[in-house]
Amino acid sequence: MGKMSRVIKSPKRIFVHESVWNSPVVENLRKNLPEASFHVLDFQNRENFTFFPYDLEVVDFKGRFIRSCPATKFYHCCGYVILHFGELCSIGCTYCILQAYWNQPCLRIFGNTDRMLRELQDFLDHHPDTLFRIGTGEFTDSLLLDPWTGFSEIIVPFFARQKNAILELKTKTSFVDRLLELPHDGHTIVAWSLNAPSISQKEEGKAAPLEVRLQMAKKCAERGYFLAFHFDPLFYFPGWEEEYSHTIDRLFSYVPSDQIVYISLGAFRFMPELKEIILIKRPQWKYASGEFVPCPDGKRRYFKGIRIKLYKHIASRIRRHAPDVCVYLCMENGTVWKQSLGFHPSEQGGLPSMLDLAVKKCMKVGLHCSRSAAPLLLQKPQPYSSDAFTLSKII
Amino acid sequence: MDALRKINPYKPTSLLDVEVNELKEDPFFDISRHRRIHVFEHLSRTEGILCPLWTYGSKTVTVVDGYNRLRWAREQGLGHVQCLVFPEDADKCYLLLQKVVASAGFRKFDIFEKANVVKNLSRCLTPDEIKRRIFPILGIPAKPRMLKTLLKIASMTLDEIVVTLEGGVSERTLMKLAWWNEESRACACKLFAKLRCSTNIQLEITEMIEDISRLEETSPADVIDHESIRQVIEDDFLTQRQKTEAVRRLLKQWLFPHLSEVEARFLEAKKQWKLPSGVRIEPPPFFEGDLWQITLSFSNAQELKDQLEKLAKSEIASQLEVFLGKDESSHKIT
Repeated sequence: MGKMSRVIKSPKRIFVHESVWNSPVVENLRKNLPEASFHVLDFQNRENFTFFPYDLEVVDFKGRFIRSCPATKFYHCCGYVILHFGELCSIGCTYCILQAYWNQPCLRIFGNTDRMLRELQDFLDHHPDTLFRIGTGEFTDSLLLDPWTGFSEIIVPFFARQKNAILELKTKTSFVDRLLELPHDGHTIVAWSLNAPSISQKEEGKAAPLEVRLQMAKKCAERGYFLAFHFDPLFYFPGWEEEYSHTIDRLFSYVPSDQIVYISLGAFRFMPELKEIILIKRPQWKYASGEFVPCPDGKRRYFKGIRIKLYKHIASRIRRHAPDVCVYLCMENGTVWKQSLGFHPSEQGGLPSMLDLAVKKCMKVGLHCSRSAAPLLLQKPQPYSSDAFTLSKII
Repeated sequence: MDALRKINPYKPTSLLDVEVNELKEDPFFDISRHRRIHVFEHLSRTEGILCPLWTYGSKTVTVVDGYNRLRWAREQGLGHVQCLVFPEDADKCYLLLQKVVASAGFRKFDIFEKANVVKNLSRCLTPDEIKRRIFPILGIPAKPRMLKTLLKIASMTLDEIVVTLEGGVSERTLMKLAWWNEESRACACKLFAKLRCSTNIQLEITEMIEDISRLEETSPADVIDHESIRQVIEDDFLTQRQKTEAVRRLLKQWLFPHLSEVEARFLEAKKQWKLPSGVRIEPPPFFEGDLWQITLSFSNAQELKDQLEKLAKSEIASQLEVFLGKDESSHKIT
């Protein structure tokens, strides 16, 4: 087994739905966690059962595995497709949105990976000329349980065989050793969420230290993996400029810029309920207090001028190291794009097309694809007409 | 508590005239002390006690329901009051719950009464049982830390409750203030007594004060006691509405310096633009988003035509471009 974080503990009790008792994921768990206890999950009595944070549920998921980013019509969405493989995260970042989204006591993964892969294969085959950027890090950390579930051994080789899709594994852990020997064929991006050193240290619970994340990124790059980095959430606090500059400088001291497919920036934003939840746990937590204004999507964001300041500084620092790397903003409006990066996403065909192009240029995947997945999946219209800017027109 | 899980285990045994001097008080049941004046006024209007008090016991007759009626009876010098008597062995928690259920049918409990009920029943029910069984009866939403909030409210002194009520502090605001220290809470009550503003504005002010105190690492009392705010609330020439607006403005400038600066710059620019009369231009709320609005006021078709012509001739578009352009050029990456 590879290098593991000192702080993320393995599950101690595993509750498995009877129908997935023999699934590959559960087989792996049994093999990798000989000291854990395994129990059949009784759904009838689940409500009366007390779960603990280090418990793990493996369920037979009945819903849709493929989902789109929730998106809103007010902000530009990246058009990322979510492969829903599990829920919740035990890293414990203070600012984590999952605290407000999920009301469940412990981690949960889906054991019926055979149906997941079938659904995914059918979906990709049905749209052969559409490029899909698919990620697993929306509702949990992509690699949090990988040392024990070995899910990457199932999903990475699967994507290696696809002509019109790439996989993005988003993490804050150091759990990459299992990835290193896998046949990925350049179809997988390993992505880390990065932040200012003081934020990483104080606010990101059991996440791997920043330097460790970068060391792991380097390891992955050496094994031919493409990389992405997400500066999200960005915080505005005394000393932010120096701290974020430091992180960016460290990042480029570790990894070659030509293996970075994209870097996203997103300022801290939250539903008002999240602020309440965080303040119950940490009444003196300062990061949700400040110039946060109500936004049309119901969230609160830093006042526009502050966001622009953050983005402009960080983007220019990135450009200093990697002038050609694709930098984008997560859930931002056109004005903020224009004022912080100097262009509106529609000038590059819209954000999804811009990221598709980055994938094609950097990873050389889906070169035959003439369509973007965004119009197919986004549930809400975007702030511009994406039809007017299809990738084929730009190329 | 087993009694609370049974249906009607203790029935009243008799209806008696009991000497006022014989009636004993128990703070466990006295949940509406702060409503004394209100009840007295009501009793004076109805010219007496219409409903019997609830008591239990025979040797020692303890009042379960009717504490303010008892106080009124004492003040009026009444010798006897009619009492419905429950058996000696009746469970106290059961009696309190019965009293709550009976009262809930004809009036709403205020937040202090709800808090007292929850605090007293916490002696015999688990927190989970309180949330599951008592919250719905009292109409309390099962929000995070609601039980703890109510226990904090129940621990307030009568003097503090009176100040809160006199300050017109809404229940939703009090739920937030309950977590402040006593000094800060008292300052907030005094502030709201001067402002007499709506619940939503109270909540907005409370949140801004909390945020500022968190950022400045000081207490809410220190924020409220800031010289600029003190000057406003002590200004006898300002109306309550003007005071409220001034306090909101001061807190907003304090907490939102960048936004306030842009708003001020926009207002200054707007003055220079000399918009035709009847034309208003508004930025997106909080300058968030890309959608600006222009409003034309007119009373007939000719006026609309005139307004549109004036607007077409005005330099508003280029002036706005300059305003936005300044903003934009200062942020562009080179």
